[in-house]
Amino acid sequence: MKNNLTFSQRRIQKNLFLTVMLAIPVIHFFVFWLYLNINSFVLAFQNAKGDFVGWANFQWFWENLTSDRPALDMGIAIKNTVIFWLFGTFVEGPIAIAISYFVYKRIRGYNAFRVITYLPCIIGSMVMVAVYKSFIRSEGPLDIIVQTLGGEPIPKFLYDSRYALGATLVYNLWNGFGTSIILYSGAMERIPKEVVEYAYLDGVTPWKEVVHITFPLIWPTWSMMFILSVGDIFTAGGPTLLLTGGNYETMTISFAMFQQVYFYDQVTRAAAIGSIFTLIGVPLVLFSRWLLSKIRTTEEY
Amino acid sequence: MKKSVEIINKRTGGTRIFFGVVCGILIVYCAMLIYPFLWMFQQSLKGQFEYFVAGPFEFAADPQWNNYIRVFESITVRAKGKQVGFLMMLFNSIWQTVGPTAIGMFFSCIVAYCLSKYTFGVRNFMYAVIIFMMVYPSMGTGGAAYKQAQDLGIFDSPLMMVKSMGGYSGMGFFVLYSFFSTLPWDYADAAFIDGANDYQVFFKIMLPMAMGPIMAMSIVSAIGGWNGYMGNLLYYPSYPMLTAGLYLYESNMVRAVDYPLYFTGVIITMLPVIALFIVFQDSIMKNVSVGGLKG
Repeated sequence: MKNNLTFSQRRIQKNLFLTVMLAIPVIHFFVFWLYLNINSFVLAFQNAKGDFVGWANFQWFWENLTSDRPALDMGIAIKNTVIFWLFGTFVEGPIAIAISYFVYKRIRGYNAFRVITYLPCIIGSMVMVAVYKSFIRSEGPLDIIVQTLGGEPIPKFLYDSRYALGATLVYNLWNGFGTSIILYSGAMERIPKEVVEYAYLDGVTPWKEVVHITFPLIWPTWSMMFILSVGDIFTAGGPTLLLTGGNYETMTISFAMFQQVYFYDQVTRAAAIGSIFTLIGVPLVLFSRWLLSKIRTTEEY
Repeated sequence: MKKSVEIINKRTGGTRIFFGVVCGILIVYCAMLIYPFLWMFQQSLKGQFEYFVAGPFEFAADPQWNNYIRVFESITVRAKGKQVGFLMMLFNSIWQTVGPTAIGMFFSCIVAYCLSKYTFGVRNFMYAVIIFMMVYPSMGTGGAAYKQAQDLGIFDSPLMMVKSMGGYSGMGFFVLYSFFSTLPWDYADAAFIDGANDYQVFFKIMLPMAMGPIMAMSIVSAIGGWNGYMGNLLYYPSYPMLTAGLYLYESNMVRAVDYPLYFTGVIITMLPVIALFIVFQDSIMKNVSVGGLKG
């Protein structure tokens, strides 16, 4: 059966194919993305029954932000979210780059390090948290180790406002490198060998190599990760639900929204919180893109 | 080439000591990642009270291997008034992982293929929208999505999986898009001359050639699905998966939690993903270096 369609028949056939294939994704986009995003702003002005309530949800948000004894401490939620983001970007990030550098330099056992540090991404936070919690509970393994070394019994880290946030940050530090290490060490592998070779002939130290060669040359990867993280800034946090349930001053913005929906059935309040931070997020992303485009690396490769 | 590698990896004096110290630090860190799991396995063989009474480093006096059978009978959670057992949670985990992954990958293939291989009026616009969606800091949709699912009548039912029919977002789309872009169109032209239509070309020629990246992306997506718990808690209250079920078990039982049994459940939960990772380690790592995987 040879094909003897005319050009216009072929065109109709092609358009029909595209229509059939793309119909569901296009409908999906309108229903589950566009409508959803618009409706999110609309819901922010309604109550749970669907009545228009003006700025009530935003007032509720403002009261929780400014009151001395708020039901939901939005001030703490914002502060913690920023802390999580800063910690991820300026503490976890540089450590991940450092580890990636040693993996890239083929430190003894580099392949095992790469695989093992990636394991937490595979295992998933529910399992990781179960392990972490049991390990640091009082009279748990950590407690016994500390006491054997002559220390005091450890506090209940996840059930005490003084330590709970720190314990969550430590949790993130414990298992949060996997993906970044693979991304950064992949980017480092693409650095031209000649560039590095010249530096080595000049007797470069590891520190100078990272600062003057490696980091500038993985800048595209780093800046992409940075922009994506700015876009996700208000979702920064740890597995709050599993670790502390948002108690002991560990509330974050994204968990506050989850809590409003899951525990209190306050969909419209969650929508109001979401709308506020989406509106702040848009200029933030645009600004960070503009800022990074001003900083160019000296070399393109 | 070989010579340059030698120069780069040759270390002298101080640098060598420095690398040795770093290597030591990394070994300690990796031990901190692995040991807790060995410890948890050790604990999973204890009896319910032995866990609290015996020291945390002691081995079980009488290893309770039958915990690995008992877990299927004894771990249950209340979900919407019904008791859901461990076996049912396992089943829920399977269909809520396989279903959305398969549906999502299928539609990712369709959208990626159509946008990379066909030129049509709104093609560039559609691509621009997809890029926009990726950078748009959409914080707000959690509440709206919850309400929408209830309004559409798909809430708390397998119909929720229609939400996976988008296929236009995330790394799956971009990996497949770049794959199809580099795939030569000659095969298709030859097939068209032989009388094949667009559907046959897609399903019989192009899709089979994309099986490599499709499988790799599916595994990455399935691992994410298997480990997810928040979406499951929110949208499938009657169908708790292993992750959400074990969370509910631990948080609802408070003082009556049988920890060794709980650990047994946790270990069973992680076994499938560990197995997948061991088998497909190379292709998973390679794909992550392209797109990233959210933990």
